[in-house]
Amino acid sequence: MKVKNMFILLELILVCFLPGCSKVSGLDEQLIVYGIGIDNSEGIYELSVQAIDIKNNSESSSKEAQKKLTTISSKAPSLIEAEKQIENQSGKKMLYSHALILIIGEQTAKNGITDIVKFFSTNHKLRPTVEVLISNISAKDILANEKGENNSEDILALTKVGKENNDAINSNLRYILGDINDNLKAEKVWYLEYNEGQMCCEKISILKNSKLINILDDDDTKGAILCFGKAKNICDNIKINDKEIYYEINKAKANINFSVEKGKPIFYVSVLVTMNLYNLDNNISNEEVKPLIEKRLSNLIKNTINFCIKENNCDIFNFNKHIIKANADFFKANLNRIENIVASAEYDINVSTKIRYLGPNQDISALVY
Amino acid sequence: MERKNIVTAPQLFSLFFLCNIIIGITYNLPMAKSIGILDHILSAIAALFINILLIFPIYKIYKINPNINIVDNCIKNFKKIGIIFLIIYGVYYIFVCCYMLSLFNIFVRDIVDPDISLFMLTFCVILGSSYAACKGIEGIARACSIILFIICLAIVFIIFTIIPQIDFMNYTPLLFNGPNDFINGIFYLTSLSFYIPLAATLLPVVKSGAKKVLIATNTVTYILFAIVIIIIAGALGDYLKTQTFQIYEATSTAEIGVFKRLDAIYLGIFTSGLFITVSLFLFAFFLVIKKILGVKRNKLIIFFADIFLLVISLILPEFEEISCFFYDTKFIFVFTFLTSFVIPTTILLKYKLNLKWRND
Amino acid sequence: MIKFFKNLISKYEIQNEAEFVDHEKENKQSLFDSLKKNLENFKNSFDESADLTIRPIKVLNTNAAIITMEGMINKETFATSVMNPIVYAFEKENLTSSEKLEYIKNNILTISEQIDVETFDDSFKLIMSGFALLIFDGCKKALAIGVQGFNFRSISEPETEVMQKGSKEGFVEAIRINLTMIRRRIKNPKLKFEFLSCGNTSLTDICLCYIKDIVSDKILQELKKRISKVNLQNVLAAEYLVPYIEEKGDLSFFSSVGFSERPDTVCGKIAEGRIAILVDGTPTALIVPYLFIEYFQTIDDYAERPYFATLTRWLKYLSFFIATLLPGLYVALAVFNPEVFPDRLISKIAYSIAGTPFPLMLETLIIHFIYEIMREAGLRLPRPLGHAVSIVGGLVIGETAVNAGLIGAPTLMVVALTAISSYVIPNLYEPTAILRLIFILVGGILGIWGVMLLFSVLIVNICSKSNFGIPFASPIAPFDFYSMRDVITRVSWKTLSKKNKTIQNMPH
Repeated sequence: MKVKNMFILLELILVCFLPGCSKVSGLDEQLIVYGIGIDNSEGIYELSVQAIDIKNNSESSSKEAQKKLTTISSKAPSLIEAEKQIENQSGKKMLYSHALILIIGEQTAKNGITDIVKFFSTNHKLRPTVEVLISNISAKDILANEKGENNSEDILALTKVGKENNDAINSNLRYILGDINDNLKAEKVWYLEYNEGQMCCEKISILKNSKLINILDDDDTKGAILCFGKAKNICDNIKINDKEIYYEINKAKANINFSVEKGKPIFYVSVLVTMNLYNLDNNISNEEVKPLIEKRLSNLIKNTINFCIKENNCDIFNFNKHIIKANADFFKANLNRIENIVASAEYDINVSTKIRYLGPNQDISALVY
Repeated sequence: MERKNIVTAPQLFSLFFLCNIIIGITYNLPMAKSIGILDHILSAIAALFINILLIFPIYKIYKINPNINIVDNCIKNFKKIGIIFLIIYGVYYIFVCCYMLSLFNIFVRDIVDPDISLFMLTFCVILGSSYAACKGIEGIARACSIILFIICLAIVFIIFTIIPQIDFMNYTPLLFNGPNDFINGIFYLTSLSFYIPLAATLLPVVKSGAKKVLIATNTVTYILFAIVIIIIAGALGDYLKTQTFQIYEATSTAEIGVFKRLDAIYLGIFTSGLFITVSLFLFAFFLVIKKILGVKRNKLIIFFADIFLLVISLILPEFEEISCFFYDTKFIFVFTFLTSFVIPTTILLKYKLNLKWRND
Repeated sequence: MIKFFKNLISKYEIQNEAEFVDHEKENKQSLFDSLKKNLENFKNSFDESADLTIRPIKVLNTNAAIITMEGMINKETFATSVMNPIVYAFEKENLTSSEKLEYIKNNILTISEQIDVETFDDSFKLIMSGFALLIFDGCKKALAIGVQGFNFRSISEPETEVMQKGSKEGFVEAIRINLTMIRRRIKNPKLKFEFLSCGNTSLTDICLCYIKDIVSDKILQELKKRISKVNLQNVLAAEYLVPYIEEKGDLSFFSSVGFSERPDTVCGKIAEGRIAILVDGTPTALIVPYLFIEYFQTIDDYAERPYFATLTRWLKYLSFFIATLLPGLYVALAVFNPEVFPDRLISKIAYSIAGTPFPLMLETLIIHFIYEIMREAGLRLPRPLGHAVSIVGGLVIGETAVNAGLIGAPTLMVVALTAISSYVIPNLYEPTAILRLIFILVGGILGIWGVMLLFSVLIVNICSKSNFGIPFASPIAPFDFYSMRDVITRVSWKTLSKKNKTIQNMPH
C-alpha cells in the first residue's frame, strides 16, 4: 500500500514537469494567417501572408470593429524556404488554420499551380475549404494594400456574392486537388480582377494540367455556370425591338446525357432555367420573349463549350464522367482518346425557361409562366 | 473457471460495435491496397457474410457451455497443449492493442502533427486503459454504452453536415476498375474483425442473447460502413484519393455555421473509443495471462504489458521492415482467421471427438 | 525494510484490539446494590464535573438519588412531573427497593418515556441525552425518566438547499426533532427508526430510518455491518461516517452517499427503499444507496410543471459539463486546436493572450485559485464584511486585473461562467472544483486528446462504482428505459405514480 502511494506521488510530481515535454506555442507566438499570396518569377517564389497584427496591441484593440492586419512577404527558391523566412522575420510560427484565401498571381498560374496547391494541402492546419483565386496582378499587390482595404475577409466575400454561383465553380483547395488528381478533368478557379482600386470576382479562369490556359469573359462565364446547372442570380439582357429587356436567372438545372449515334458521340445538354424578367413592355408578348431568351442562353452555353473544350481542350464540365455514367464500356475501350472524343463530340443544347414577370406597370400576374 | 453473467446483451453489443467503429475510423485506402473507395461497399456486404461463417464455431462453443470461455475451453479440451492456444490468444489481444496504438501514433504524428509529446500521449492512453481494464468488464461495458452514445451522436452530426456536399457526379459504376479493389477490400475488412476473437473470451459474461449480439454487431457494422462510404465518396470524390485517412478528411471538411473545422470532434471520438477498445483487449489479455501464470502475479502482468505496449506502439512506426509486415492485410487476416475460426473449430472437433469416445 | 513496516503495523493492530476489548469490558459494568457506591462511581466517572447534578432524596422512606446533567433537562417538567409526584408519593409498606422502583414507575410518574437501566454505560448515555436517572438504595436497577429540555436551534430553511417551492423546514441538530419531522411526513407504522451508537468516546446516537416493507434487507444488514466497523473516537458530524459506509477502496471523486438537510427530500428517498442515517448533533442526513443521477434531482423538479422541470433538469446537466469541462476545453482548444474557433473569436483570444504575461493554462489556473480563495473567504466572513469583499473581488479581478493586462477577458469570462454553472448543482461543487483543475492541467499539457481521455477515465470510474451492489451510474449504465422518465425528462406525476421502482430494483 505504501509503495503504491509513493508511486502515485512520484507520478504526480512527474506530471508537474510534463509541460517541458511539449513544444507547444501559444496563440501569441503564432502568426494567424488570414490570406496567402503566391507569386513566382524566374523560379523564385514570393510568399505573402496577411496576418493579424497583435504586436504592441493591448486588449483594448480587440474592441475595435476592424482588426489590424499586416502583410509580410519573402522570396525564396521554394515555398518551404519562403515560409521559414517569414517565420524568422516575424519571430512567430505560421498558423494557417484560419486562412480564408489563397491568391496565385496570373503569371505564376501560367507556370502551374500543382506545387503550390500540394504544398498547402499537406499542412494539416489549413482548411481544405480555403478559397483559391487567380489574380490579374501579383498576389502581393492584392494583399499588401497601403490603405489596408483589401483584407482577406472582404476578398472572400467577393467570391461569395451570389454564393450559390460559388457552388457551381467550387474554387476551393480540396476540389482543385481532386481535379489535379484526375488527368481528364481541367481545373477552374475564380479570377480576381483588381483595377484602379476596384476589385471584382466575376470571371472564371480555366487551367489544363494545372497551368492557366485562359480566362472566360463575362458571357462565357455565364454559359459555364448555366452548364454546371447550379446558377443563381445571373443577370443578363436581350434586345427586342430596340428595347433592352433585363432578366435575372434564379435557378438553372442542367441535365447532361451522352450517347453514341452512328459512331458519333453526342452530348445532350438540357437546361431548365427559372428567371425573373424586368422592363417588359405590354406590347411584347410571352411568345416573342421566351424563344429569344432561350436562344440567347443556348448560345451562351454553346460558346462556352466551344471555347473551353474545342479551342482550349479544357474539360471543366467533367464530360468524361458523364461518359462513364452513360456507357462505362465505351469509356474503358476509348480511354486513351477520351479527350479527343470530348473535343470532337456534338453538343446538343436545349434550354427551357420558366419566366416570372416583375416590375411596375405589368398587367400580367407575377406568377404567370 | 466459472464466469459470472455480469454484462447485458446490449452492453456487449455496444462493446463490440464500438471496437468496430474505432477500427473503421482508421480505415485507409493504402492499407487496403485499393485505388477507389466505392468498391468497398460491395466488400462490406461480402465481409458481412464471411463473418457469419467465422462467428459460427465460437458461437457453437458458447452454446455447448455458456458459462466458460475459450480460455477455459482450451484447457478443458486440450489440457497442457491448450496453453499454446492460450498463448496465441494472448499474443493476438496484445497485437490488436499494439496495432491500434501504433496506428493512432502514425495518425497523430503524420496527419495531425501536434506539438505534444507522442510518448506522453501514448503513455497516458495505456495508463488509462490499464486502469479501466483493472476495473473489470462491467465498468468498461457501462462506460462504453455512454461513450458509444456520444460517438454515435457525433457521427450522425458529422454525416449530416457532409450530406449537403454530396455530388452525384462523384459516383462511378461499381467494379469500374475491376475486381481487385473489391477482393482487397474483403481481405482488409475481414482481417479487421477483431471483435470475433474477442467474443471468444467475452461471450460468457452475458446472460442471454449472445447470438443476437453477434448478428447485430456484424450487420450494423457493415451497413454503417457502407453508408459512410457512400456519403463520403459522394461528398469528397477525387479528393479522397489524395488523402491517407479518408474518414478524418471527411470530418475536416464538415462545417456548420461559423464552426469550420469539426475534426476536433473526430479526434475526441477517436481517443475515447481507442481508450475503450484498448482497455477491452487488455482485459481479455489479462484474463488469458492470469490463466497461464496465475492470479497472484496480477500487478506484474499489468506492469509488463503496459511497458511492452508502450515500446512497441512507439517503435513500430519507425521500422519500415517490421511495420510493413505488421500492417500487412494478409498477415492480419491469417492471424484473425486463426483465432476466430481455426482454433475454435479445433476445439469444437476435439469436443465432439471426446463426446464420441465417451459414448463409445 | 518492508518486513519491518509490516511487523509494526501488525503489532499496532493487536494493541488496538486489546484496548478496545478492555474498554468494552469496562463499560459493561452493572449498577451496584448500594446507593453510596453507585453515586461514588458516578462522581469518579465524571470526575466531579460541574454539570453533573446529584440530588439525594427520600422516596417511599428509602434513600434514593436523582442524577441529571445541568442544562439538559426541562426543569419545569422535572419539577412538576418527576420531583413532585415522587417526593409526595404515598408510602407503601413491605416493598423491596426494586418493587418500590416499579411502583414509582407504574403508579406515580406521569412521564411516558421511562427506561430501565442496569449498567453504568447505559446510565451515562441516558443522562447525557437529557434523561433524569432515579436510583434506589438496595436496587441494582435504575430508572431513566425522559425530561429532555436542552436548547436547540429552531427549525428553519436550510441555507445550502434553497428551494422555490416545497417545505421551508430543515433538519436541526437534535436527532429526536428530526425524527418527528420525518414521522409527520410518513404516517406509516412501517416507518422504522433504529438507534445505533457510534464513536468510542463520543458515543454519538445515530438513527437508521427506513420503511420496513420497502427496504432491502440485504442492504440494511450490510449497512449495519459497516457502521459497526466504524472505529472512530468521536463522531461529530454525519460526514465522518461516509468513508465507512462507502465501498472499500473507493477512490472516486463522487460520493455514493447522499446528503440532505431537508426532511421532504429524505422522506422521498426513504419511500424509494433507501435508508436515511441521522446523526445526533448534525442537521445533515445521509442517504444510502445514492445514485449519480440523483445529484441533479431536487424537490423543486417535482413541484414544477413537467415541461419546465425537464428544462431545468437539462440546464443542470449542461451546467455540470460546463463547470467541469469548459475551462479545460478552452485551454486545450486555444493552445492545441485554435482552428475550431470561429475567425472573429480567434482574433479576440489572440489579442487577450498577447496582452498577458502568463501562458493560458497558468492564467486559467491562477484565476481559478483566486476565485476559490474568494469563495472560501466569503464563506467564513462575518456578514457585514461580505459586501466589502465582493466589491474588492469584483474590482480587483473583474476590472483592474484585465485593464492591467495581467489576465485576459475571455479567460475571465470562461471562469466566471464556470463558477456560476457550478452553483446550479451545489451538491457537486466539490468534485467539479477538483476535476476542473485537473482538466485544465490535462488540457494544457495533452490538448483535446488528454481532455477526452480523462473524460473517458472519469466515466469508467463512475460506471464501475457501486454501493451496496447498486451501480452508481444506474439507470444510465446499466440502461433502464423506463427510468428515463425521470432522467431525460420529468414526466407528470400521473405517469410517475404508475410504477414505482425501488432502489434495489435498479438494473445491475
